[in-house]
Amino acid sequence: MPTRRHVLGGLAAAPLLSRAAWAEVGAPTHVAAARRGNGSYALFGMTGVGDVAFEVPLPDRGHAAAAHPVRAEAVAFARRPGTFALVIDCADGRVLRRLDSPPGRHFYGHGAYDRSGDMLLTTENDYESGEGRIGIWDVGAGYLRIGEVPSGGIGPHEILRLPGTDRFVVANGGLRTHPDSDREVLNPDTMRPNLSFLSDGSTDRVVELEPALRRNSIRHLAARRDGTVAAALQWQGDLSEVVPLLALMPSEGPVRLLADADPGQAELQGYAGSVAFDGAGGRVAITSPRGGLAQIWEVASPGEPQILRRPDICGVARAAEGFVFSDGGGGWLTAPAPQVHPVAWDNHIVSLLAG
Amino acid sequence: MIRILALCLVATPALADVDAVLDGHVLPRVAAFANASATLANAPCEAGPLEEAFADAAIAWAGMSHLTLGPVEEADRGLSILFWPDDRDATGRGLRLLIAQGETAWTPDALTRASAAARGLGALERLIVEGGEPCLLTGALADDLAAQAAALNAGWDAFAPLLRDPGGANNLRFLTEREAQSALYSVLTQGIEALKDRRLGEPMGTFDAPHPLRAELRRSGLSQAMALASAGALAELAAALTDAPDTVDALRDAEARLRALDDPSFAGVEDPGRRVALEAVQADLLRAQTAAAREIAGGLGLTTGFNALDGD
Repeated sequence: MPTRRHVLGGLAAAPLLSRAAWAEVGAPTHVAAARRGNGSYALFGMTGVGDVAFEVPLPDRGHAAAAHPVRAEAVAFARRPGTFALVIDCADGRVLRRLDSPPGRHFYGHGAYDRSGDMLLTTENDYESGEGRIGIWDVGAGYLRIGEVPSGGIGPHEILRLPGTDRFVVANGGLRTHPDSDREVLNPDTMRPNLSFLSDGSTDRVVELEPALRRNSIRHLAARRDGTVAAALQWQGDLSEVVPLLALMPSEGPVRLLADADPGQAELQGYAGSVAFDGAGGRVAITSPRGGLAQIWEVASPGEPQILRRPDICGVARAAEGFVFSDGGGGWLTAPAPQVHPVAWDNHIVSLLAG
Repeated sequence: MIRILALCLVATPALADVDAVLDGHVLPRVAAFANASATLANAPCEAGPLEEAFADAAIAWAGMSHLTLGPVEEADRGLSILFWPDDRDATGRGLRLLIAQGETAWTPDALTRASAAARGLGALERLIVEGGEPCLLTGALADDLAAQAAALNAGWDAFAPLLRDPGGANNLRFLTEREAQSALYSVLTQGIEALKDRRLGEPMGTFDAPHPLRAELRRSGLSQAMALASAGALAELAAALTDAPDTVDALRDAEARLRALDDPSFAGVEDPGRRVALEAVQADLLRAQTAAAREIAGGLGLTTGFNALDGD
């Protein structure tokens, strides 16, 4: 329970942070948002075997969350083009802070903490200029906005910290949008997505797809301990043209399109929703809620992918062993046994596993 | 009290019967298509017997083409059985290429590598309405079709147990009874939609711009028979799935109206006086969609597309 001093003085003065560690809120390994059976929304902590560790309310449907590396604290972002995010104490559901995007900006629905958890980075749209921005928030000072840097492209969507480092990778999706026209793409013919790597606030590497794939929006990311990044792509071109929707960027060397020659890519309907490596890092999975399936690829020797068919499957994350998948029908699929919860799981799963 | 009431409401959905659907609908229809395709493959290369066996195989396909889950999901198999609609005459081009390639390309094995448009019922129709020549190619296409139909039949033998045993070991496809029921409900609704918006909707186009050349298997005059078979199959599925009288009634009405029609290739879409009959069938199907949502989806408590429709 918050003390009187916290309630009266906390918001203005001392930073209000969760005092619980993840171990104290049921030791979740993953965090995911969902719509509950009664139509309300909540953020769930899930254990390694797929049981609910905690459940705290959300005011509305979110997109993704970022989880603090130490404290039981998560930032839930509104759906694009949302202008706020809520810092939630996962111990009791209190809203610790509300982050508002600065004037002329909106969030894209993703963010990432640095390794220590002292800093939060958020992807943002400076929508008059169309430039992508990374907002920087000082967590210890009560999520005070202390600056921003260019994202390295247009339409930054997911930002991810590379495991074991304070280097970040940003998926600049390439889609220029303006909140006045909701999610309409204003630059379909000139879009040029990229992956930008950020160290100490500056871009030190930019990776693009080949020119023929410039209409393949880079949206969601996963990273392996060796620095390899996997990207889930969303094709903005003609759907009768079948293109690969999974790209791998080794820490050095050219982009690999694992699914380049795969006829099964057509089943994804141009849309890969989430991507993850498995616990050992040997496999990588992408999901397509539109196609109702996930494809699981061997990274080292891609032949035909393994297929997992589930209606409305979208969430995927690394598990201690293998993967965890989630779907809009409540399915939460992880070892040793899949479960069905009375919810509709939202797009993404955030892993709390170290890395 | 309120709580007890609420529980009662939730606990009395119209329970869908997965076994009844499989044993009374899916498996017999998949087997019927395999048998009809095998008969076509064994038919002598003469116009009369070929046309008759072809019509039987096409109608058997129309009676199961709504079963898009399971084996048909793999490798675009539906397209290589019937490539339709074919606005760009891909079937004509594919067949010309096959004929130009000569006899080495006319084996069931070689055909598995050919374009989907040059295979299946669409390609067979072109050859058969012109007498079946060259017989070697017609025979190979019929053998290829029969092989695909046999593979679907075998695929269903493997897939049906997943539907029957939700939550069983290694069954990640269906975790609960409700998931299996939902999948069959989706088959029904997608089947009604395909009949209304594609089998009928493609040739109907709009009042000002009908597309009679888009009618399914119009060259052999099977468009009406295909739609009729489909309506009958969907009514059978709805009846087997659960107690859904309004849905079944609406589908039976559509079926009766299609049977009474005299418009084998849907050429009537251009004639306002005849077009109205097809519009009435579409209205029956719209009624079936609404009824299914109320009688079946409402009972199962289904929601769909939470993520698929969000898209970000």
